[in-house]
Amino acid sequence: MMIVRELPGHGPAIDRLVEKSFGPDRTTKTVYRLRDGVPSVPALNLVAVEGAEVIGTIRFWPIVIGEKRVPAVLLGPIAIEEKYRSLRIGTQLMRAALERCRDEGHEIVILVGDEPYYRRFGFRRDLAERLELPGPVDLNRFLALELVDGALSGVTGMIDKPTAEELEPQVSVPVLPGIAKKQVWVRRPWAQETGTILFFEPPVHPAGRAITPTTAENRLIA
Amino acid sequence: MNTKIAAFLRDTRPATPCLVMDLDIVADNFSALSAALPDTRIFYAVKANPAPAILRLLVAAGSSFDCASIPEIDMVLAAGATPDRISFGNTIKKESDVAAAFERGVRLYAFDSEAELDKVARAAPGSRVFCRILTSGEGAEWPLSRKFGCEPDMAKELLLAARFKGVEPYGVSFHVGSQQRDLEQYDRALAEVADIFHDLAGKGLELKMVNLGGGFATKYMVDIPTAEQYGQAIRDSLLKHFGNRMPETIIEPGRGMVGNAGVIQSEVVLISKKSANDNRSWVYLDIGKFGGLAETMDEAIKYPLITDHDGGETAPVILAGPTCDSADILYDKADYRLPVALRIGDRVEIRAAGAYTTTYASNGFNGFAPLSEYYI
Repeated sequence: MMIVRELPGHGPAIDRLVEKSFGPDRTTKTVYRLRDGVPSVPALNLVAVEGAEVIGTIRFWPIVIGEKRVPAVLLGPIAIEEKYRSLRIGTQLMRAALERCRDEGHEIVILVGDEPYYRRFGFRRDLAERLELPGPVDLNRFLALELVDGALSGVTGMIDKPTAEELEPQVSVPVLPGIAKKQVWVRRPWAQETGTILFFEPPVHPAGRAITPTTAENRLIA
Repeated sequence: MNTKIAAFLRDTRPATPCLVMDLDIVADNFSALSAALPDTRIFYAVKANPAPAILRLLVAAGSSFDCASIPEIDMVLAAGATPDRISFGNTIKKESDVAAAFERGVRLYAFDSEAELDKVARAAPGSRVFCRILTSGEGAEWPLSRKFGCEPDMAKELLLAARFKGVEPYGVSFHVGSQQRDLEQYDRALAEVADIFHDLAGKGLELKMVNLGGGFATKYMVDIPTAEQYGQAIRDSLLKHFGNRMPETIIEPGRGMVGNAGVIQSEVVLISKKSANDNRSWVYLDIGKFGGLAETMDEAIKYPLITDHDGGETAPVILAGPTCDSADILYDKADYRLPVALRIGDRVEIRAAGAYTTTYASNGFNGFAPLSEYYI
């Protein structure tokens, strides 16, 4: 098993996996109101793969909180192929993804899920108590995580979709010759516990978005 | 001509021009190649002739398939092959087609440039990729040099880079040129491939597969090596360059699989001279460059022609097709001779026409229908 950045080719397999895991009704959930019409955050989305097959996915959507429009990310969906469950792949995906969130400079992560499970990653109910979602939600499952201490202090109000202007501007960086060679493997210490976890910077599409390089280059092993 | 095709033509009297293929010969060719290279997987180059009858036969025989496009992949899947038997061997693919192939389960892709590698990495992440290298194509009647492949040094760099793009650098391919009769060419190419393998192994990348491409000739006018001779030369060369670290090998025969299994029957439309003292007759057939004989371009492929008057006196001819395009001349410089007894309306059989004919036929240029085909 490897954990890698999500690439366009993973898309259809991820859609099938999410469909299988959460069923067709999933889009009626409140969190989908925040995802509707907004692109996910490609720099954070990861997949667990076995060869060329997707066995796990985790994705993030950009959100803003309250009248101050504090930026944050909404975690999910996260799904693991049925026959690979109970192998701690989900845990590894979570850890890897939260590392990426830190590397990318995000400070607040919100999710709707089982507190007893997500507690181990630092998600807390009390951090989300002063936040609201634009629709019905089981409050016990409405959780938040601070990647920077105090990031949520004083943050209150309704969670909303970012406007086009608030979405991180897609900087169009000219593709320089050799840019793809800057790709690096990243090996985390905790990766050795259960499996190989590798990141790589995906190739930049000449016509597409430039991918923000990771900021934690001191921790990279080329 | 083989009796099976002769009997079909006699009993069925199909309208000309038409291609008649003897499927038994295709099956024999597959067996001969399998026997000549027992440890090598055969990927039939579907482009040579994608007829469902041929694909079904080869699926049943255990062949794998080298496909150039999504429609070819779909034809192979429809014939019953599983996607693990398919290689997307074209080095020039739209990214959307790579994605479509990936969705169909295809996990083996060719590339020969960084941009193509990036397309595969984005659209088919985790797949196996092989890099095609340039070869001289020397000695081939239909050389494939220049357009495909990259220099070995670039191949090394790209294969090393592939590891960091999320695909599995799996091997190297080359093509000595179609209709390659010089067996030395395989050895030269394999020497270069072995150098890439050894060099990259030193850098921590163990490549696993050598794709020897095609090149296996079909007999047109001059004699060609047998499957056994090709096999012997390739086996010797592999042993010489790889010793006991033998990689997985695959071949991609197209012409060598189907070329000699087909006969095109055509009819003489006109025999004429351009002046009273013209010393060469023009013989116009009802099939030309645009009816399926595209490989007569530059008189590269020289098909053997058979008439009912063979054995009698012959005279030099210029052979041409029936269309209004002045480029539709088959053979002018190639020194073709036909019997002087040949008349307008007579049949002319074009031998060894099973490969690269039906699919090269134009889509109704001058109103002539694409080449009709019969598989028996």
